[in-house]
Amino acid sequence: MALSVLIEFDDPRKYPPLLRLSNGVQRPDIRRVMGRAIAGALRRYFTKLDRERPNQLGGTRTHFWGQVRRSVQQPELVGGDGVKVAINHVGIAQRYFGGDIEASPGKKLTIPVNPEAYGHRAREFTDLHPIWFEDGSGVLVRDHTESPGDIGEVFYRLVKRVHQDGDETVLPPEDGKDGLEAIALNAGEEHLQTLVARAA
Amino acid sequence: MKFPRPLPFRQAVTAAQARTLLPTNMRTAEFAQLVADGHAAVLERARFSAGVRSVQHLDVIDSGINDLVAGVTDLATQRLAVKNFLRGTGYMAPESERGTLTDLASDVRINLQLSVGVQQAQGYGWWKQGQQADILDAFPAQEFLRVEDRMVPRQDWPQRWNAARSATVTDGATDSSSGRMVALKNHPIWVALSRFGTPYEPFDYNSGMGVEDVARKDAMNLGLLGRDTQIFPQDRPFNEDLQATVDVRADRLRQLLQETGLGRFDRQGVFIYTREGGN
Repeated sequence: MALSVLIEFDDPRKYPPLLRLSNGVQRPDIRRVMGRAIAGALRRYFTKLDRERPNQLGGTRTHFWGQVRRSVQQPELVGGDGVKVAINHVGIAQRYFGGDIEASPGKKLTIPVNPEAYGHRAREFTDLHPIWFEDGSGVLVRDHTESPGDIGEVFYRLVKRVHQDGDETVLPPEDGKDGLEAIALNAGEEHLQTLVARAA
Repeated sequence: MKFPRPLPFRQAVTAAQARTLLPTNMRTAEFAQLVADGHAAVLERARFSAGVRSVQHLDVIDSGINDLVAGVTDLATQRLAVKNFLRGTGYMAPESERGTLTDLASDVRINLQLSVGVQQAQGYGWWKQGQQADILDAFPAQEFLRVEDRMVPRQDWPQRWNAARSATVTDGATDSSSGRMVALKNHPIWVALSRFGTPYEPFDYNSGMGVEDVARKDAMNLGLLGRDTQIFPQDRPFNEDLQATVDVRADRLRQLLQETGLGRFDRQGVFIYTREGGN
């Protein structure tokens, strides 16, 4: 599911001087620029994650964070002082908020545990078969032709549900001197300086 | 404040859905020749894949791309959908080709088909949004840089950049020897740099290269424009009175263009792209 980031610039004490004097945050043209700065900052942050967080199983990379980067959209203006940026990727909300994922009735979740399985649906493989345990869980394995009688090579765990912890670090911070709010305010201030200089 | 909410990437969705299915037995080299001959705009409006002649196959790929752009599915699920379709047709590549790019059922081939389509739609969406007048005024330039690592990255991008700059206009674009590859957003270097003849990502297959905005102050410091230089928004409307001069070097390519159904040649030999169902 997609994720939206909403930032409301409702504290004039944080504004740079020109934005504060002119109440420029209320101007749609300035806020469009601030919103684009937020979107650009998000894209750069996801480029950084793509470099720093390859999948832990190894195997062929899917560049999840590269996909997320490309799904960042142009922000919407919200109310008189807000901007909302949507990140339109199916997996980002789960990464941020975490939570439990439960299989549909009668089915199991397939959790990859083999580098070759990462980034693949289990049904893409035509040579796996299940081994079930007493507790109802199981594994999907590929037979070892070299070692008949061996359990085989485990590709997926089969479980009813899985819990994923949320991770706020999948988004850059909003606050602080390098946060999204500061980046947006600096971009708005810089653009307003240009407009004022032209009008002078 | 963060909240989960599905929101369509409007411009990207439009770009993905506007494409006409183009079954063809053309190969990648012939598509590249069409781009070199100045017909990128025709291909920009088509959904095609080298050697894919089945409309149904293209439709499965097209649906997958549309759903990926809409953010409602993932690559693995759509790859499985394509594989299931091909299994249903009994398709099997010759043994010597299995697992390669020419094997329509291989991971590498399907991933490429889906990812390029999605990237083109999203790249267009980001480009289009960046053409809004206020945004273009504040961010009149963009930088070409690596956005995804590759095990074996291409090393010739600086040379390709300089060649595109020399072939178009040197003003408004840095020389790559400066350490940065930056140009005004509507500079012709972007089309010249792109394998696909388009001014937005991706610029080549699996390149890992992309673009990010450069603010006016930064662009001024690079000598690309002045404080008061106005950059005019561009548009690349889909299915809108597109014409292409027929400098198609091979009769075969001309015939293929004719057979696409994307348009027709007029008496002067100009290829007129037509609206679906229109004149």
